[in-house]
Amino acid sequence: MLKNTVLPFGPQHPVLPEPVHLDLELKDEKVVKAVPSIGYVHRGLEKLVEKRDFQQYVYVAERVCGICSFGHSWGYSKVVEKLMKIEVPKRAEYLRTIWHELSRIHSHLLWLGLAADAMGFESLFMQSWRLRELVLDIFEATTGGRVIFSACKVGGVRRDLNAGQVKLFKDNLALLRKDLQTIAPTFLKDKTVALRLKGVGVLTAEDAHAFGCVGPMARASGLMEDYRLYDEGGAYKELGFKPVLERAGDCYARVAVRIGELYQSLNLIGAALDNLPEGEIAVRPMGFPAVGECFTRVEQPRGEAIYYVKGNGTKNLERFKLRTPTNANIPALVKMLAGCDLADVPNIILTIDPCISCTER
Amino acid sequence: MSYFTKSPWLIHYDGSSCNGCDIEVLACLTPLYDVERFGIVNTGNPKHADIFLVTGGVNTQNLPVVRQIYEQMPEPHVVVAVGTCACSGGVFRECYNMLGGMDRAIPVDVYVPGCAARPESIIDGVVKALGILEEKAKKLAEKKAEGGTNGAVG
Amino acid sequence: MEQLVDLAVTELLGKVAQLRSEGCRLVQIMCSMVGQDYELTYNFDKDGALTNLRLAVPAGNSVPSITKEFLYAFIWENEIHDLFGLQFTEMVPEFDYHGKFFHLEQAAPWNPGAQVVVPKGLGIDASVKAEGGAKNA
Repeated sequence: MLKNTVLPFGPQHPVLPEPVHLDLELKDEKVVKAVPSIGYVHRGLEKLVEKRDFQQYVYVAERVCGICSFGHSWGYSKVVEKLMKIEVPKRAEYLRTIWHELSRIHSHLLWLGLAADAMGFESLFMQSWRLRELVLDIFEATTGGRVIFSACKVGGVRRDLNAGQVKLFKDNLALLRKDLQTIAPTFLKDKTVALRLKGVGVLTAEDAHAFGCVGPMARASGLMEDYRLYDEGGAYKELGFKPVLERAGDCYARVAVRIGELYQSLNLIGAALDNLPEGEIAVRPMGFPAVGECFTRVEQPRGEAIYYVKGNGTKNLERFKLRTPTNANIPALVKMLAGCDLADVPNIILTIDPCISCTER
Repeated sequence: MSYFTKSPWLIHYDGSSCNGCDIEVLACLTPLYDVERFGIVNTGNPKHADIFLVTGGVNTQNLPVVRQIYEQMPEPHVVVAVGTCACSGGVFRECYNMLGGMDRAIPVDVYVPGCAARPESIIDGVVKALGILEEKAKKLAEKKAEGGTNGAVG
Repeated sequence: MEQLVDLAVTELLGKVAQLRSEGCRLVQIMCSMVGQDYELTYNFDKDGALTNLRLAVPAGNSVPSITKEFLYAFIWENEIHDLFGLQFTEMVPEFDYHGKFFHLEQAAPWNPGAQVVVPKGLGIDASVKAEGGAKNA
C-alpha cells in the first residue's frame, strides 16, 4: 500500500500574497488532510500595549492589516470608548460608517481581482483593480492615505468631510457603480468562471454553523451571521440593513455574496452621505481607561471581529486582544480542503478571503 | 546598454508585513501604474527573478525563508526593501517577535520608505535598483573576464 | 460589561454543552496572564448577545478541551498552548497540533516561565534549513 505524500504549501507561493504554511497530505491528486501552521507574520503586537499609551496604540491597531485597517482602528477605538464610557458624536459615527463601508468595497474589489488571478483570468484581475483605484482616490482625497489612513481615534474621527469631498465621493461612486455593472456579469455569468467556481469547496449550512464560520463565508451558506444587524455603533440602525445571503455554499456563492455586498455598501454610503448630521467630529477623552474590561465587535469585510481591552487605571492598557474573522474561518478551510483536488487548493484558500496578518497579529 | 535593465523580472515576498505595502506593490502592476509597459514581470519563481521586492520586517520564522529565496536568485540580483517595516522594523520594532528591518536577514540595496509605500515610490525604488543592477552586472562581467584569461581552455 | 459567568474548571464542559444545545456559536477563547496564573475567557454568541465564561487557572494546571462540543475550538486552544504554555487535555486527536501550530522563536512568549517542549520542524514533515549563507548579523 502506497504511503500518502505530504506536500508543503507555502509560505512563498505565487497565488498567495501572504505567507501561510499548509501541509497537505495527498493521495494521488486528492487532498486527504490539511494541517495549517502559522507564525510567519507574527509580530506580537498585542503586547505592545505595555509600551504605547491607549491613544498612541490606535496607530498600531490599524497596522494589524493593511486591508481591514480602518475596521481595526474603529474596533479598537470603540472598545476603549466603551470602557471609558465616552459618547461619540453622531457625525463621527456616520463618518466612521462611510469610511468603513468604503473599506469594504475596497476589500471586496481587491479580493475579486485576486480570485480572478487565481483562476487565471488576468484581464479581470486588472479590471477589478482599476476600479479599486477609484476608491483609493476617494480615500486619498478625504483622509490623506491610500491604504493606512489614520482617520479614526479614541473619541471620534480625525478628519471631516467638506462639501467638495462629499461631491467627489458621490461622483466616484457613481462611476464605480457604472463600471461595476460591466464587470460583475463576467464573474456571475461567464461560463469559464462558473466551471472553476461552481461546486468547488462546498460548505453546507450545517457545516458552516458547526465550524463557526463568520462573514461572507457563513452568508454564502445561508447563515444569517452579520454583526451589522446588532451593531450599536455606526449608522446601521438608522440606515436600515439586511444581509446579503446565498444558499449554495460553494466558491461561486461566495463571489455572489461579495458582489451583492458591493452594491449594498454603495447604497449605504449614499444614504449616509445624504443624511450626514451636523456637529462635532470628536470628543476629547478625559483621564485614563478605568479599571475594568470590555468586549465589542465590528463587522469587518471578512466577517465579525471581536475586540477586548482590560484597563488598570493607568495610561497603558493592561491587555488588548483581537480575534479576527480569518482566524475564525480557518477551521472551515481545513474542513473544505479535505477531499478536494490539488489544483483547487489555491482557489479554496482564497475563497475564505484569508488575511494572514490579521490572523497572526 | 546592458540587457539586464531592459526587462527585469521581480519576485515579491511578504516578510511580516501587514499587507499594506504588498497591495501597493501589486497595484504597480495594475492599469493605473502599469510597470509591465517597462517589461517588468512579477514572477513566482526565484530562479527567474532579478529584483527581490520584500516587505515587512524580519522575524525568526521568515528569516530562513527570506534567505532561501535570496540564495536561489541568480547573480546579479538586487534587493529592494519596501515600506518602513522592511527598512527598520517600523511601528513594530519593539515587538517581541520582531528582529528588525530586512537588512538583518539579507543585504538590501534600495530602501523605499512609507507606510504604506506609494506605488510611485516603489517604481522609483525599482528604477534606482535597475541602476545598481547594471553596475553589479558590469562588475560580474569584469570579474569573469579576469578569471577567464587565467583558466581559458583552447 | 456583558454577562460574565465565573466558572470552576470542573463546570466548564457542562456549561459549554448547555450553550451548544441552545444553538450558541463559540466566538473565541482568549487567555490573559494574571501574575503567573491564567485567566481564560470563552465568548459565545446567540443573535448578537454575548455570553462570557471566565475561568481562573492556576499556573501548572491544565484545562479540559471543548473540542468535543465545539470542534473548531482547536484553533484557539492550539494558539493558547503555543503562546501561553497552557495545556488542554483530551483534544480531538486529529486537531491537536502538539505545539507545532504557531511557530515562535521562544516558546510561550507571553509566559516565559512555562515549561513547553516545542518539537523541531514545520508541520508534519517539511523543514526549512536555517543555517548557511548568513550575510548579515
